[in-house]
Formats: sequence, structure tokens, C-alpha cells
Amino acid sequence: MDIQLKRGMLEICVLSALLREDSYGYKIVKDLQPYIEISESTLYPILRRLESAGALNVYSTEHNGRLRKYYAITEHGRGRIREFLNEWNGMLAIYNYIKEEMSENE
Amino acid sequence: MNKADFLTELQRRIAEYPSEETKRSVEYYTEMLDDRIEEGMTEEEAVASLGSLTDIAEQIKCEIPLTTLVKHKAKEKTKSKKLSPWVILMLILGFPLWGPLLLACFCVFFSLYMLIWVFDIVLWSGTVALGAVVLNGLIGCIVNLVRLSVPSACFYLGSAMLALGLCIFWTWGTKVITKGIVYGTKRCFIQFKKSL
Repeated sequence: MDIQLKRGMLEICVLSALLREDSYGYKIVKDLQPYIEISESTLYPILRRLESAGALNVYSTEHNGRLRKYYAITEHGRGRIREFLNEWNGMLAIYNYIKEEMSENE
Repeated sequence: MNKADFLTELQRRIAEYPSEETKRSVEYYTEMLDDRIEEGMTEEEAVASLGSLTDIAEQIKCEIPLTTLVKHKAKEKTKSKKLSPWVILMLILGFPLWGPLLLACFCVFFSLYMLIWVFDIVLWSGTVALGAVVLNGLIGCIVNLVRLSVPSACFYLGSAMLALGLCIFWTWGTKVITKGIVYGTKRCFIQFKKSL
């Protein structure tokens, strides 16, 4: 997959993984792995970016005698997902056009 | 590689970045390892599953915003110029010694500088003296003309003319020297300011 596209998709995926409940790094990776290729080292910069963009909040909670960072989606983050879904309609139209042209003129 | 080794190595590789970034990264990877170990992996397995350290360090570096990096470098620069607390303490404790020495040094330089100006004042008084001779010659000339002793009047006029010539020459030289002193003083001040 194109690297720019994947980057944008990953951000939306990570935000979506936080919709149901606040989550932590390892769980996000595990939740997303069936759908998209993601590792901890790729997740880390994404979380940092989303945090500085105000799309998610970070807080620490004690877990088994150590601190674990939890991530919570913000209203801005939800807006990003909505934006993505809206854009996707346009993308789909383009996709269908390309597919049609290809099948007619192959 | 076990957890502690991995974290030490990671810290070493990203130590040059802002300490806040380093701290956050190490915290993040500590948490990742702990979560895996909690799930039943051994330390070695957990470390191996994170991928190569080089990639991880590279990722961290790429994602630090450029502005943060620049600020960090700028801060490092200003830090190196500041005096350490130890040096400041030594300066305070040593004041009874270096204070009077500095004062004495200043006094010596100040008196040498004054000497230059005294020399200049002497030159200017030469101008005044020659001016007085001119005035004297002219008065003498007029007085002798009134007395109708022409040769004496001529002598006074001649001496006045001679003194006037000398006076003009002398004043010109003195002016040049005074300008030189002022220029030198200015240059010294500029150099001093630059060195601060």
C-alpha cells in the first residue's frame, strides 16, 4: 500500500480502536493487527502525532504495580474519523470510475 | 537480549535527543515489554518481537518535530556559554583577591590614559601661548606706532607674524593628535564591547 495513504489510514484506525473504550498501546496493536499491518514501533509515532494534534488524550493508570498509559479519543479525534468516512465516499467514486474504465478498455 | 539490556541500549541510542522525548520513548517501550511479558512471553521473546533496535531508534528520531530538535540544539548552545555554579561560587569566594587586583589594574590603565590627555592639554596650551605672543606682538606694534618708533613697531609686527605662523602650524598638529586620541578611544571601546 502507498506509504502516505497507509499513514493516514493508520491514524484513523488507531482512533477507531479508541471509540469503544480507552485503550493502551499493546491492546491497540492487537486489536488492529487482523485488519492492518502495525507494530509497536509504528504505533508510537502515530500516538505522538495524534496527541499533539489534539485528537487524543493520554493518562496513566496503575496496573499490576506499574504505570500504564491509556489513550482516550477527543471530540477532535471523532471529527477526524467522520472526515475520513466522508472523504471515502469520494474515494469510492474514483475507485469505481477507474475500475469501470479498466474493465471496459482492457 | 533481556528487557534491561534492550532499554539501556535504546536509551543510549536516543540520548542525544531532548530528554523529554527520550524519557517518553523509554517509558513507552517499557510498557510494551511489560504487557507482553504479562501475557506469558519471556523477556527475550518480548524483546525479539519488538523488531530491530535500529529501526526503533530511527522511528523515534524521524518523529521528533524539527522545531523541537532545533530548540533543543539552541538550548544546548546557550547552556555551554553559561557559567557553572561551581565557577560562580569560586568567583564569589575569590572576590577579596581578584577585586582589588582588578581595581588596581583599572587604576593603572586609567592613569596611563589620563597621561595621554595631559600630553594633549600641554599641546593645546602651546597653541594658547603662541596666540598670546601674537596678541602681544600686535599690541606692542600699535603702542610703538603711537609712540612713533617705527623700527620697534616693525619688530613687534614681525614677531607677531612669526608667532601667528607657528601658532597655525602648531594648532594643526595638535588637532590631528587630539582626533587620533578620540579615534583610538572609540576603537578600544568597540573592541571591549565585542569581547564581552
